[in-house]
Amino acid sequence: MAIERVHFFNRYKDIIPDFEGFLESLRQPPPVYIRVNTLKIDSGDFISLMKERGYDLFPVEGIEEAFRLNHAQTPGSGLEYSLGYYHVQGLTSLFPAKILDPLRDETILDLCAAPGGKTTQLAQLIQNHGLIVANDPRIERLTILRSHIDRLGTTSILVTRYHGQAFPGRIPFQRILVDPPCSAEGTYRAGGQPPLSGDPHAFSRLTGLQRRLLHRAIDILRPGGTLVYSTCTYAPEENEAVVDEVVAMGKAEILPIRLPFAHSHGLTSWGEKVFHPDLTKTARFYPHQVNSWGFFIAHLRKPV
Amino acid sequence: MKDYFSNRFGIPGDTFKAMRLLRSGRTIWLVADVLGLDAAFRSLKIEASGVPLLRIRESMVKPTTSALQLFGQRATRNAVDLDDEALETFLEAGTVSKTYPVEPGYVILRWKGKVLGCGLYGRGKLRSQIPLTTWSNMKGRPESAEP
Repeated sequence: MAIERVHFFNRYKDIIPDFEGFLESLRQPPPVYIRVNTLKIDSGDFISLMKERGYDLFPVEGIEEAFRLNHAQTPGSGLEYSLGYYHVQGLTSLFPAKILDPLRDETILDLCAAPGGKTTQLAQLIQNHGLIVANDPRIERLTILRSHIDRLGTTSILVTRYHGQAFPGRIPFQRILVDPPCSAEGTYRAGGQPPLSGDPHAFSRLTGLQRRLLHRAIDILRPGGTLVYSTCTYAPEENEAVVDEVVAMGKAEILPIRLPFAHSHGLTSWGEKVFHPDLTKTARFYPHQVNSWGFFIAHLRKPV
Repeated sequence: MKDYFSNRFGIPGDTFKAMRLLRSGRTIWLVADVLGLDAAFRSLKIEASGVPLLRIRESMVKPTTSALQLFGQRATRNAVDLDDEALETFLEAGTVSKTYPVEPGYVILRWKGKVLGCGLYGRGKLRSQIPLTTWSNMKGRPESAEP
């Protein structure tokens, strides 16, 4: 990694605890995590099979379907991958669906679904007993999503291709996941691409899109329904500021997040901007706290 | 169409209980028949539903590898169990020349009880019908055994 690029993150030195530790974590490649697909194989059988086949597999305390895979050079290939026994997914990327906590027989929308790790995880959590609408406007990314659906055997997913900010409002969804396009600062670790936040035009376009997506999602959420808004970036403009807007308008309330993984609370101010005090209930995941991608997650409920 | 799996592979009919079949072009899709499904079809423009089950060809239907990986465990006939040697040959060449006790036509390919996907058997030759990208991935095993 061209570590000189970490100047992108200097503006966060007052909000990220142990900032030097954070920078050091960016110099390290993230470990590979996988999710066993319990729609196709029992966890115990999976562990036995993978060990028999020579994989260096370690369970993750706190998420029983997650494993760290050591010495995996191309984890997205191989017989077991092709059979749909597992999906490669960052540890923190597993959190949004876990927090959304969908139940059987619910109708769920993943508004920005591709490439599909979180969507197929939702299907796994309800064991295909419910309806998941996986939406994404980008056709090339839908092709990847479709390939994961086929491989993982998720029969509960319908795919749509609307612009998320104009998603039809004819179905009152009980749960919605909004994981919008973001500047991806959280994926900037060893070998990573520079984040989009270095481009002011892209940054401005993203924050506008994120706002419109979250507003639309809340509009089509059933009253009393819950929503998770997540990004893999640190920028408060893409996180707390977006959530603060809907909270300030009374369109949503923030629910607490309970996960057995170290994290920091969301911010209540950034620069001149002051956010609703409940923003502390949102969660920031940094790579020196949880050795994976950086993430921001807010758990919201639409008032009845 | 549900009868196809019963007739060809002996897969019990109740396997598809609580499932719905939908035809789009030359593909039959399998989707969980759940609450809200009809409303979704009425209200949304659906690009794809569940997983592909069968491809309809001129004179026959072909089961998809996705479907066989899901339901092939329950097959009682027209399934070929590959041993390690046959699997190696198969992964390398995509074809095994050997006589198997199955009827000519599409068969289920298994290895150590795990369903790999669809094969085509006839005249003492077994050919892979597994999609090329999946096949290419399968050949890349097991990459993680290196220190």
